[in-house]
Amino acid sequence: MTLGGSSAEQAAAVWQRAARARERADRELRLVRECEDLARERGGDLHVRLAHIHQASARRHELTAQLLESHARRAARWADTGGRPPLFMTGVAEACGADSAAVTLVDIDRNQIAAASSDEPSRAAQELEYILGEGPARDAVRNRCAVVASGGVLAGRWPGYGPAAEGLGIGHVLAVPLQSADSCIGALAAFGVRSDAASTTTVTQVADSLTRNVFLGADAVPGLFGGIDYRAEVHQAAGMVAVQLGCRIPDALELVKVRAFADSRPIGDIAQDIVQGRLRLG
Amino acid sequence: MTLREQEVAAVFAELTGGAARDPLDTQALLATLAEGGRRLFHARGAKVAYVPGGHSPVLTDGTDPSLGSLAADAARWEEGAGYDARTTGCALVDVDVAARSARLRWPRWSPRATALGFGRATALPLQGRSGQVGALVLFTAPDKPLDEEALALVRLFAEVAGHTLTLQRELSETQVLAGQLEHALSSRVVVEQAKGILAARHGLSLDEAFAGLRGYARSHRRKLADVAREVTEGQLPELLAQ
Repeated sequence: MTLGGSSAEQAAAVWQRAARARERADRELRLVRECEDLARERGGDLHVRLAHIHQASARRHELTAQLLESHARRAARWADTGGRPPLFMTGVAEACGADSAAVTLVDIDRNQIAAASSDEPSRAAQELEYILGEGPARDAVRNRCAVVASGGVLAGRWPGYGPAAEGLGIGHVLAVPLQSADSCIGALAAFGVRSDAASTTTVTQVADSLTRNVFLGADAVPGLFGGIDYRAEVHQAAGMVAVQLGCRIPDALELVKVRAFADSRPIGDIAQDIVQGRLRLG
Repeated sequence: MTLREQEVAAVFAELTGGAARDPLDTQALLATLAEGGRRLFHARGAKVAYVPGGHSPVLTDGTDPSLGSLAADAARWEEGAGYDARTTGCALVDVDVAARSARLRWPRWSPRATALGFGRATALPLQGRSGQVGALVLFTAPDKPLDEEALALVRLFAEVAGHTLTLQRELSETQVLAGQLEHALSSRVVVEQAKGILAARHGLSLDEAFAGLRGYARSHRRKLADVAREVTEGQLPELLAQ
């Protein structure tokens, strides 16, 4: 989803969203205090448990507000100075305490259907997973748990992805699923975070905010203010290749991926060449 | 914790455990809530009404079929101790069901509850995140009011139940939204693929291919994504063919 109007209006709309997230956080914090008061008055652990539930929910809304506020600040600056439009994922990487971050959304068969990243290395790393069909985000979705890897472990665990990621300067990656109850909609990968339990907690909390509030909530912005990439041209190219070679779409998509990997070029560029008739596979 | 408090905790565990097993099964949650309330407070019967998100429809249940239908009728009549608790947010404690004031206030509900053999009712609002979302009503025999200890705890029970229902609803909404997002994204993918297929097959630009796809879907009154999916599966060879 993209917001209409001038860039200043867009920034204002993001501030309003942030304010609504903060209201939700405040409401949850009031419930936390009520539950804690009742726990003190009556004893027993029921209210303590309820207080924990509301605390988690308050933290989630608070984090969402922070993500939106940081995006609003960048959008306002962009309205003043111009240049490249701000990326929502920049704030996500910051909140994770990471150098960079990428989000992958998947369909029910766990195929990547959309992606967003904070910078070029994270975009390239994300795309490697797309092309090679292996990597931390894919494992986080499949196993529904956090995946941590660094240094030599990268290559040991993912023979294709590992060395290529190291080539991009990625030394450490932490990927967590974007999940809620029975649903898993994708994964968040943070690059260059510290490898400790606190980092895992932080990144998991950011993932929770993204899942419940940014991608799925009542006030959701699943298009990340224009920052999400649906890879439209890759799918257009796959359709064309399928006709040109008389093969099925999944096979055509695979051929486009293979070509991107072989040429060490972004898959979007390869797709552009195919769509504009400059490149024919086969 | 007293024995009663432990029992409340046990019912709470039952409620949350049930929600985790199947977050979409609200009716099962309401049945557990009514039965848990009846058992805990040694009531003769219990009924529950719940309005997810504060909008209609009103979901109801009772500890036996006659109470289940009383709950449904009360919601339709907009009458009864539970209806008042749900709409005002105030608890009605140990009300004489057959009293003159009750008959005046609830002309249909009061006689029906009396005929079912209930003398006294306690109705508690179930609180959501912003306001009440339902009510739990506990019935006792005419000569058996709820004891004081039970009254103190029954509020706690209703409060916990309100929270549980709200959390369960949020989880099930998230599941529905996840399905919708996945559908929207998958639809985009097949539409782009179909554009590529039609453009290559008929030597068209992508915009022309899209116009053809959309025109076909409109004239056949079908969804764009469904038509696109068939194109990607090798069906509809006649589409855009001269």
